[in-house]
Amino acid sequence: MKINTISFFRHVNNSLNPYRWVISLVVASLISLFFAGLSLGNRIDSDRLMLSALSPYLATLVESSDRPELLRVVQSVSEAKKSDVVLVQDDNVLATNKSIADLDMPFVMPKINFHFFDTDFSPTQIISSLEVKHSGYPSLNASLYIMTPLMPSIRNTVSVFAITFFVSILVSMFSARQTRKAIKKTLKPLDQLHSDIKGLVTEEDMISEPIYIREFEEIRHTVNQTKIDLDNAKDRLAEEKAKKLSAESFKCLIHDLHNPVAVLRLRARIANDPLQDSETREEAALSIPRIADQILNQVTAAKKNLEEEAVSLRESNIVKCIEESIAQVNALTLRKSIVSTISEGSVIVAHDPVLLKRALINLLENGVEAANSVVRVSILQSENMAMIKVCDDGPGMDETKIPIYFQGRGQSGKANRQAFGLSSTNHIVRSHGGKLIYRKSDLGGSCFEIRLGVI
Amino acid sequence: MNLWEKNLVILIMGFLIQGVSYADGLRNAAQPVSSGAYVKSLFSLPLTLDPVQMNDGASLVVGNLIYDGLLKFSPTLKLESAIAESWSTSKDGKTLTFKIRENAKFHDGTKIKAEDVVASLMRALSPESKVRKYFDCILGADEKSGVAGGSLIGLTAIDQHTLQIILKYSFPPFLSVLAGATAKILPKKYLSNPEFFKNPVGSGAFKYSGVNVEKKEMSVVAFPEYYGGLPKLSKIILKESSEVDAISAAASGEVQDLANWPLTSSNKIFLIGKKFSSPVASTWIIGINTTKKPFNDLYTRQMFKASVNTEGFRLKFYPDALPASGYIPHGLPGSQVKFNLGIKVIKPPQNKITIVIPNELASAQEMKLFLESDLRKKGWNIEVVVMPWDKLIDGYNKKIHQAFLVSMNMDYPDAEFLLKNFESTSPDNFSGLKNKKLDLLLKATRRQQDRKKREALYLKALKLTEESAVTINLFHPRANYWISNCVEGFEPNILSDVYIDYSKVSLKSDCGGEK
Repeated sequence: MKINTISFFRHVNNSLNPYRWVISLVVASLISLFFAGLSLGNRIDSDRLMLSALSPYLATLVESSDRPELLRVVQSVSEAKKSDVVLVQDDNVLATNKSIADLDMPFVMPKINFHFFDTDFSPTQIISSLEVKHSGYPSLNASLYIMTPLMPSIRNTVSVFAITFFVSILVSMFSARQTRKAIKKTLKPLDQLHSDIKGLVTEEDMISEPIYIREFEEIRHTVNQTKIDLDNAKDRLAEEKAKKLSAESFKCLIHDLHNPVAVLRLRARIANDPLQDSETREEAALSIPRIADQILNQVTAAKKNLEEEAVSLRESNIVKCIEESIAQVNALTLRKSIVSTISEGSVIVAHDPVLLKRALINLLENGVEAANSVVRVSILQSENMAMIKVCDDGPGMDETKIPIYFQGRGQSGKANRQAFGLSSTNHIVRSHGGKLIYRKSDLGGSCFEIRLGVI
Repeated sequence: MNLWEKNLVILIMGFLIQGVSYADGLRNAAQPVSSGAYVKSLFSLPLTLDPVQMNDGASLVVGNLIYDGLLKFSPTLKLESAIAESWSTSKDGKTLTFKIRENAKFHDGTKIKAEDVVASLMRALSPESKVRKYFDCILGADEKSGVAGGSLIGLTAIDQHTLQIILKYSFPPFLSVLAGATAKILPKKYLSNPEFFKNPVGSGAFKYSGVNVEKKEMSVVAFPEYYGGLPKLSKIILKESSEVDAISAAASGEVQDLANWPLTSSNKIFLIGKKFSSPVASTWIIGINTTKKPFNDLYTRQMFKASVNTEGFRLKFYPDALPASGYIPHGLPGSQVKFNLGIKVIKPPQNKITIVIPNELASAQEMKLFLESDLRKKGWNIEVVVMPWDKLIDGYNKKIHQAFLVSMNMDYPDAEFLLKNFESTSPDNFSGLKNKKLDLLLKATRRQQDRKKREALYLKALKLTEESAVTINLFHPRANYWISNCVEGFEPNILSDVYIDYSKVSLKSDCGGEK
């Protein structure tokens, strides 16, 4: 089942999105309402403040019945407030900025729709009123009305709301943008940690920057330590395995030496057996040095192989090792070609790249030496085994001699160049827990198979 | 006396024509027949075009069209600049400095200079001036012989466009005097010409065009170089007619303006035109002459004052009007004075008392019957005489009437204007009252700069006049001006129709106005 994944940043962003928009809208609305209310309240309040401020002076003028001056004041207030101003005494209009036809006529109060903040609202006007009198003095039965057109005030209030809302939303958007940046910045150490862990896995050499976040640094340290511990464990495992393989090699050597030594003892017994005819004894005597040489060769080869550095197994791509071996041999070969039928990809096998490469080079050099024109390298992979084949179109080898060459008892020389290094190659393959097999090649020559266990 | 004539607006208010058919007829007849001129009806042609001689309303109306002053009143009595574009007052209130507009011109095209203003104001202080009492607070004015010498120390042309006026004492209403209908600016160079006022060169929005005595018409035309901009009306015809004829002409579209005829609001003419209703600074009174028996007795005057049913008179003849709260018109400082004479028992003398009322009043006969009936019931030997206006005024000037019905209008909105009538030395003291206490109060009032203190002095003076019972205050009228539907920009003035600014009035283009 395929799982769709998203980045952690996207996850955080998506999780915050609904809250961000809802909060932005709610906060913008509340702020806008607050400022719109403040604007309307200020307007109403300024009317009332003006009424309060004017009241004592107007009271003096009303007492004096100074209508010319009252008209001037009322006109000035009207122009300043862009409102209608009416001064009423004894229910008649004493002064107004409107038509002088209203003067001395009964004051008709506009129909009031509702009362709010000590202010009356008619369908078209906001009406603030105050009794005109001197504080602590008898009533003059006079009132001043400021009638502000409702629509401009509503327009103003709505404009304040809209502008505040727009600005709040812009600020919210800017804040959201900054939050996204902050989230990205916050997640950067996590990305760095991820990269570092990934680098540890792929064993890429990376310059690790400090994360500066204690928890992340601890995680990185733990991962690093775990990797080191794992490497050490692997090394210890490899060492154990190498020891085991080395013991196996000794066992093989002893096993391989058993027959020649038995033959040598038999031949020595025959050569000294008076019961045998002289010809037989002579033949046996003659074979003794030869067999002894073979044993000596085998022991020498074994000694040489055992003197090689211990194998160090690492699970890695064996294809890389094969390609490097081909490239190295190709560099020295002009007339004959090495054909690789290895497809791209990787075959992970526990191996020691240095030793395995040496074994492959031995086989490739032998192949090139023996081949008429072509050496073919291929790799096959089954469930639990990888098989590297090095085949040539040369004359091939005497199959009966193959064990002797593999055991190192054979004598390399011009007559049989292919035997050169087979003992070493066999030893290396065995050290890997594998097996070196000889077959007749479909090309007509020799074909060596290296079989190794895969992961 | 000039107060009387100037402020006596004869209102034939009882023009009540009954019947719906007449109203319908008015509606059908309201087709303008104007040939482009704006026709304003007046109760008479102006008696003079000399501002310092103006006593009658018609003269003041025409004077306001062809002459401008340094200042003017807005419709709501705000002082505004006119020929003076700005002005300032010294801290002590005695020195006033005016800056004359550089683009202000007389109708002959010459620029108005400070020396013209000096000459014009000096004319107001000349012995023949009927308005010198308003200007005699200027430093150097000799109260007995007019201007001392050929110049006046209180009037100085600082330069061509700067004028300085120094007063003997701080007199706050003086700025209002300068905005009044008689403080007009004339060209100095023509003032020595005795024929000047037959064809005057003015400084106002309209230029005098001529008079047609046969048609009883005077015309003025727009002055194109007027500093306030070209007036919208190209020509105004001022036509003398009776109230009945004026209303008939308005109904037929021949007249666009009946503002000189403050009508009752129920008048049928309002069915076909615009009505501008406005209070006016006016009080209708029955004046009492203290030099005539039995009114030489204070108690008799007080009893007579207490006997007149003023509220009944108002409700019967002028229900639109406000009840008279005092001598000073409603809405002006001093109007709040309410004085109770405390007369409980009325024992009228046997002397015959004659009250004269103008014959031109439409309800004069009804008024006569009302007053006679009411007062006789109360024991007064009363006779109301309905008298032609000119005869009434003549008797007023000669102070021969015992009592008379008149309207007191104000030239500027200050109690001082009306109180001056009661100074012992005033030639316009129609009552013949001589009260030293009142004289001292009025003198002190003029020198008082503090508004509240001055008001307190006014109140004392007004209480004295009320106590002296020289006026029976009937009511404060409310004007209802009829204007044709063709007219735009008309705005009444609280002071009176004299102050209406006709430079802003226009006729609709489909009524013969400028397009």
